[in-house]
Amino acid sequence: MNISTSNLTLGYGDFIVLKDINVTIPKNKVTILVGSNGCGKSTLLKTMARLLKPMSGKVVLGDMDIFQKPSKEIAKELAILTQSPDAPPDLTVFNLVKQGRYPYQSWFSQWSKEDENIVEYALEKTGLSDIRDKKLSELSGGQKQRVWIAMTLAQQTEIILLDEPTNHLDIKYKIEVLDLLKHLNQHENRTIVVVLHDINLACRYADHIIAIKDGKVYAEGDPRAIVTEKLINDVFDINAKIIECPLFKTPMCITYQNLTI
Amino acid sequence: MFNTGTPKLALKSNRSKLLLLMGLLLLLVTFFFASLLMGYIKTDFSDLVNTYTDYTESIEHIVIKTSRMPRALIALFIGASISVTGLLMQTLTKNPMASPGLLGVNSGAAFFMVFAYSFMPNFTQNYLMLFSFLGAALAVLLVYTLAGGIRGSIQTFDLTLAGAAISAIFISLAQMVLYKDQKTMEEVLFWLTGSVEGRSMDALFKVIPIMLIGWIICFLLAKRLDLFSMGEEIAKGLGLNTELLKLQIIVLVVVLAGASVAVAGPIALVGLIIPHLTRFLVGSEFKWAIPYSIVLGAILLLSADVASRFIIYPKEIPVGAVTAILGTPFFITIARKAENR
Amino acid sequence: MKSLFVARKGRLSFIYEKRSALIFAVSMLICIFSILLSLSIGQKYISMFKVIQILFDGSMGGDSLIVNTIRLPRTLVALFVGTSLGLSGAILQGVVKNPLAAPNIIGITDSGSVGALIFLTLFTDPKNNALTTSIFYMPVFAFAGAFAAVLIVYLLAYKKGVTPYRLIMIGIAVSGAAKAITSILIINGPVVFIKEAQLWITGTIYGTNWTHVKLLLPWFLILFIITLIYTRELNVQNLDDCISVGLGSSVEKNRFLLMILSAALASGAVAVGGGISFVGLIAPHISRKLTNSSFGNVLPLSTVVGGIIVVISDIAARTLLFPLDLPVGIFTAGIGAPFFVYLLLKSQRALRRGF
Repeated sequence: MNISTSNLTLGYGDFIVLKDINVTIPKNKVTILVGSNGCGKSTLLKTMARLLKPMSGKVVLGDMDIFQKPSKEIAKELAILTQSPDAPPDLTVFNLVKQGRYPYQSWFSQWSKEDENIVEYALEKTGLSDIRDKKLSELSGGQKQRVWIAMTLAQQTEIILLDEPTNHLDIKYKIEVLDLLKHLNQHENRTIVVVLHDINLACRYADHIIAIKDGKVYAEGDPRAIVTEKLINDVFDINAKIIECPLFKTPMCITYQNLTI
Repeated sequence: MFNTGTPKLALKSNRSKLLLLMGLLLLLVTFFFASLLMGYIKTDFSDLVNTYTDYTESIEHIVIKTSRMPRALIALFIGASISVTGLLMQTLTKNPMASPGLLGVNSGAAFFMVFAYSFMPNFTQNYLMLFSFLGAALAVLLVYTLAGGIRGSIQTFDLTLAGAAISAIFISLAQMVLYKDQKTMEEVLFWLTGSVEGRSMDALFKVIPIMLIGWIICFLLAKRLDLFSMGEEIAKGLGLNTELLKLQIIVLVVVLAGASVAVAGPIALVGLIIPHLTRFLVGSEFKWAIPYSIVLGAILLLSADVASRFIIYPKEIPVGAVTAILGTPFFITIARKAENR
Repeated sequence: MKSLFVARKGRLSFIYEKRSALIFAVSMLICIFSILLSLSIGQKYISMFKVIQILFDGSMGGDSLIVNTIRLPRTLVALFVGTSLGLSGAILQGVVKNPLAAPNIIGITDSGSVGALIFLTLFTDPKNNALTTSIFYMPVFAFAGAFAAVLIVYLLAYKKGVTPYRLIMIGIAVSGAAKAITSILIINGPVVFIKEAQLWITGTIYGTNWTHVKLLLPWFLILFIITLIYTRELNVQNLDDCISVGLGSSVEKNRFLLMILSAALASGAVAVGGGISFVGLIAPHISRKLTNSSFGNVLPLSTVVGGIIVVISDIAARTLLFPLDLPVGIFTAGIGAPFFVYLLLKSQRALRRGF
């Protein structure tokens, strides 16, 4: 299932954030949206997930305008995880992950064998099987994030969208989450779209980067191809020296303002 | 300070602000006299003058001296005080929907008042007022603690609901007392809804100095309040002792709102609406906001009080009922515009 | 998955947590016990054993008359007022996403009293202060007042959708206006209004009979069943709105429906029992403490707990200061209030959601 936008214009009130955006998210790849604060990357992601309505233009999922499709159908094809969602603190891990099955259930079919198997799989994949009965308030930041990801996994969608899933997380958990997402892409062929702040992590994990600046797509493509000093300068308004990361062979940006401090 | 989306008239120059204030003061005086002269018993200006120069025991003189004068003064001072506390509350919680009632002041005072009235018949009106003031203070303490205030930042949503919870508790307690003692209910009914009539000048003279001092202290804190409204962290960084200021605000709120409730019962919505009106006219600068709130609040309550004499003429309704009903559309409009949590 | 109980047949499937099923069973037992207690305690003590006999035998004798015509209807009304309130509160807390919400916060109780007072004002003969029509119709007016208020609150809070914050703020506004109107009606009426209004506001089931049961029971049952069907929706509603939409839920539509359910339940209870306080606030809390926040557990448990609270409060109300028959609202508040403060102080962290 492909997701793309067509002449998409987004904004709030009189304020236009993004104008005439045309992007196609490459299937079965990890795409990362980057840009400075307020550039509209989160807004774009949310609109692609039909959480926000565009001012004009369309989001096309499969071959249909996403806003013409019934929400529950979309939920079986696309999952979205927004920033810091809130939930009752005494909800158990199991009960939250279980919610991911919502689009497939009805009042008389509340827990089919398939539901059971899939939730089990989601818990295992995210390493939560042993703590399934713990309450959210008892978990660490990294664990909580994994619970939300497990929930989106339970949704069994081909496409997963995540808005800054590593904000507020310790480095260890940042890497843990991104490794998990990469794994899901490589071993289960899922299309992953992430909004990320950190350009270096973006370079390491992305197959495809979309850089946003001034309400438009500044550049998109393989990080090795498009991440240049000029891009960093234009998009983030800072200087950078680009070298190749010795571990992962992806671009690594050393940012600086002046060469003497 | 907040983006409530309300349009701003926002007079720019100090001169125009001063002129408008003078105009409003004139309006205040007018309403004050209206309050003295209008009502069931017809009086006119000469009656007013005579009451204080050539007192005969005519009914007009009696009414003016014992009923209308205290009443007008109370409406003036309490309208002013509640408005100022509303301003303080909205600054403290950084939320345009805040009002003194949010902290449980009204229900705490109500319960203590009802309790004292029923169980301590020896209490004079002064003691009753003092006691209900204690109730107000206690309620505020409980709400603040419950909303996590002692630990640090207060989320206004929590404060609202903590206030509602504590209010519900005190109101239930009050209901219990009232159930047992029907007679208290009859006598206290007006006060419970918020009423400025039936108080003695004596009681008022005890309360007026406190309120005046409160207003003055408030005015003295104006610069710090301006700083505080820029944001707590910023203010701290600029050297403001924010914890002390927060404490000062709470004490001022308890004193001014508590005293107001003790005298006149819980009067709805004035503390919520006047700060908005003030912001509309002169913006958020406290050295103007405070005097404007004082004057506008007094005007509002005085006019509501006059109205309360005529709505179901010849019977009177408590002024709190008038403010509640007239204020509700305003409240709803503000609630619809406020976008925060 | 040892702790779960799953039932499947063809396409039908249900899941239940074993522990909470157990807790529910125990609370049902407690509920039955309190019903029996309520039937046996009174001016004449009838042993529970005899009560059970009467219920199953239906024999005509002095005792069975007491049980069947006096105590049973009253107990049943207490029970269903409690269950309605408990359930209503649980639903509302899910919709508003805050455990401090209660039906009276959205204006139901105060507007119900407006309805009741309008009834009194319209139908009291000014000459002798007697009612000109049967007091039976008062619940109808109270119900209309309560329910209308919720619709008004919802409409006023609607601005491309309804947020919990706006709902509560406008609920408070409507409550305030309703309280003011109530005062005006009281002041405008004869002195006897004060007592009657006061009684209504505090909450009482004194004087209820089989008619009330016949009204309340089917109303509650239907709403209860509908609510159970909506349990999944409520679970999803309780999460962040963005997530709910992402899962495919029609958030606004469900929010409206659930609010109506909560309002209908509470209005029914308020119409018959007046302003009984705290039940809608505490019953869900207790349920959550005993199990967890999943509504499959909370809804049935909250219902039963609510019933228990009111039945027991009613027993206390009519026996503690015998022969005085106090309004039950005094006890729901008297037990409920301190308990609630205790709960809150103990778990302040539970009030904070989010990450």
